[in-house]
Amino acid sequence: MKCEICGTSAVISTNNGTLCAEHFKQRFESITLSTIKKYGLIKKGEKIAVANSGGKDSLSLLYILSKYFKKSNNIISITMDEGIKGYRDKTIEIMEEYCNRYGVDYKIYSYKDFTGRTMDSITKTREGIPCSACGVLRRHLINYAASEVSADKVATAHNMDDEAENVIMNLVQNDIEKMVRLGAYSGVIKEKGFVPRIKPFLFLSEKETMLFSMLNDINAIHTPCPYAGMGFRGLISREIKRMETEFIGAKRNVINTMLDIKNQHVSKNGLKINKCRYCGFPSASDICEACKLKEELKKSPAI
Amino acid sequence: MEIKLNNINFGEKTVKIKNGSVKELLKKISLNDDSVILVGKQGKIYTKDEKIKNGEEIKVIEVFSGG
Repeated sequence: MKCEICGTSAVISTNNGTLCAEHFKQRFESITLSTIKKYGLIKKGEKIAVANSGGKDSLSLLYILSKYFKKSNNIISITMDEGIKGYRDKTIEIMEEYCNRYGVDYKIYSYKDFTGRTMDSITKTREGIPCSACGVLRRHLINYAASEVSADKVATAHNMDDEAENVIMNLVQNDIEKMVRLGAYSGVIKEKGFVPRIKPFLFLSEKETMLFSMLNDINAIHTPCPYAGMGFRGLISREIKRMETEFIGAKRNVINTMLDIKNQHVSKNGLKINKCRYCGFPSASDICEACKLKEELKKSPAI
Repeated sequence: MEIKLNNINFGEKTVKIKNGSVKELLKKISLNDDSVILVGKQGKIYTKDEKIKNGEEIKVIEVFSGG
């Protein structure tokens, strides 16, 4: 296939175009910047915390935000260390090397400090899919970390695949309240204790993000988390990629449909939110999921 | 024709395909275009409608969530 711009050999063909390496990199950055502009994700002078695991997606996000916003904004990297031996320790090394080389300030927050347990330890005593507990702790700690560094917003590298998976999972679980918190600018926007989350890669696929990191020699490990691919999300993830191959644009359409529903729902009902009575962070119920999990873990000592 | 594959999950293996298309190869290894990046010996990245040369060595990089 040939690049639609210059006619040289293409490296990718998606609903964002059929492009050679150079034009793909330009298009990727341009889509990121247009998402930021369209949804007003970053305003001049704001402090932006980039949730950075040291993996391909978040390093690519840090690369672009540093390239375009370092002069106008304060960019800081925050990392959640789940405690997954042989995986997260390696990506943290890469994250530190990257931040040190490019002069980005960073801070690391660990599950062990928050709950007394690593993710490896939690999986030994807790039944069920590790990703559900890990996701609860990560969201909580990201918000805590972003608050602690006094960030105005926290940028995550969630991409089109992640978001389409979330939409379909919420649909299958009939959870519209959770679904309407998705989007490029997600969650409760004006609430004390909550740092708004922004997703500049919302309209870029997992494959595009991975290719972007490879073509820019971003030294990420191209292996998944050892606990990934399990359970419901793993199933949805595989199916949505199969669907996209057969029907190009499927993921984007899923997200656009969610955004339409969100706009209608929020204008009619607003966003309902409580505060956790333990930690004070915004929560859908009286006690947030992270505090519930923390209590549960106290009752089941580490093996 | 024969294509040599290298992948972090299944290791090294050689597959035989008839017409040499990327689509045929992906079908043979039960993967789809949206979930994989195929990199040839000289660093060439294959797109879904291309043909692969006989004897080509391809690194099959699976796209994964997270990071």
